[in-house]
Amino acid sequence: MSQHVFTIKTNLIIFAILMVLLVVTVGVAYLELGVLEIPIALTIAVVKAVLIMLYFMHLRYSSRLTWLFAGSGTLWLLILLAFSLSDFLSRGWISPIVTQEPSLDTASAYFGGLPDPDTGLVLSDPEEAHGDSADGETSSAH
Amino acid sequence: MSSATAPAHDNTFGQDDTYLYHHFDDLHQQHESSSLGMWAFLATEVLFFGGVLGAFAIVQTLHAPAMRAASHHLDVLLGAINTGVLLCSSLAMALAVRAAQLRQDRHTVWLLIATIVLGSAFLGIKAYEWIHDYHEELVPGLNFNQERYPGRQILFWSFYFTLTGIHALHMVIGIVIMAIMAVLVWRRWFTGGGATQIEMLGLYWHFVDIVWVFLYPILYLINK
Repeated sequence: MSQHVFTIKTNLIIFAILMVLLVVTVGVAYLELGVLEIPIALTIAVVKAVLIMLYFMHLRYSSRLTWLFAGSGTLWLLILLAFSLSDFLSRGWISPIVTQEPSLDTASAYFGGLPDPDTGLVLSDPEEAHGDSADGETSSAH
Repeated sequence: MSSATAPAHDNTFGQDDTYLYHHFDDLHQQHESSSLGMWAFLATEVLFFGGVLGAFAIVQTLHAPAMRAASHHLDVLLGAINTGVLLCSSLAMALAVRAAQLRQDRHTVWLLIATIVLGSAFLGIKAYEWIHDYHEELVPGLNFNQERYPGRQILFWSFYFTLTGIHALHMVIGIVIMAIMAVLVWRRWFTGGGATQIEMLGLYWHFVDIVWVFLYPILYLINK
C-alpha cells in the first residue's frame, strides 16, 4: 500500500521546467503572433497544469479512480466553455458581414444598431480610420 | 501489503497513516478515500473558477478591442514575478508533502513555513498591484474613471478584480490552514505524522497555483 514518494531531484526538475515555461510564455507574448497568441498561451498553461497535477499532485502514481475524479472537473469545464463559445465564436459566420462586406454599417444593420461605446478607443481598428480618411479624400476629389 | 492494524510506532517508508479508522478496510482504502474527497472538492472548485472564466471568454470574444485597451495597464513583469513566487511556493509545498510522507516532521514544518512566506509574498505583490490600480482610478465600484477609460474597458477590470480577488481569497484560506497544520505537526498532534492531511493540503495549494497559471496569461498576456 506504500505510496510513491517523489525524489527531491524529480521535484526540482519539474520546478525548473515550470520556470522555463513561464519565461517562454512571457517571451511568446512579446512576439506579436496575432490570432495564435491565445492558443499558444493556453497550451503552455495546460502543459504547466498537467505537469503540476502529474508530479506535484502525485497524479502519476494515483489510482485510475483518482484520475477519473481529477478529469471530471476538467471535462465539465470544457463542456461549459465549448458550448458557450460555439455560439459566440461562430456568430457572423453566415451573416452579411461575411457574405457581403465587413463594415460596421452592415453589422449594425444586421444585428440591430446599438451605439458601440468602444468606437472611440485609441486601439480600435486602425484600418477603419484609414479607410474613412481615404473615402474623405475621394469624395473631396469629386 | 502491511497489516491493517499497524501499531502507532510503525513508521514504514511511505505508509500514509498509522491509524486505521474502523469504517475502512485497510490503510490504502483510507488514504484513497481522503484523496478522492479532495479531488471531488477540487472539481467543484474548477467549475467555480470556470464559470467566471467562461464569462470572460465570451466578453473577450465579443469585445476584444476594449479588453486589449484595458489589459495594457497591467504590469506584465510584476505578474511574471508573482507567477514565479507562486511556483516556488508550490515546490516548497511539494517538498513539505514529501517530508511528511517520510516522517521528517522538522522538515515538514520548515517547508510549510517557507510555503506560507512565499504565498504571503505573492499576496503582497498582488496588494501592491491593486493599490496601484486604485491610484490609477481603475477599480469598478470604488473609483473607476469612465472618462479616462472609455468604452467597455470597465468590463475587463470587473473580471480582473473578481478573478484575482477570489484567487487571493483561496490563497488566504490556504495560508491559514498551512499555519494551523504547521503548528499541529510541530506539536506532534497527528498519530501518524499527518502525512495524509499535509498531502490533501498540498493538493489544495497546487490547485490554487494551477488557477494562477491560467489567470496570468489570460489577464496579462493574451491582450498584450
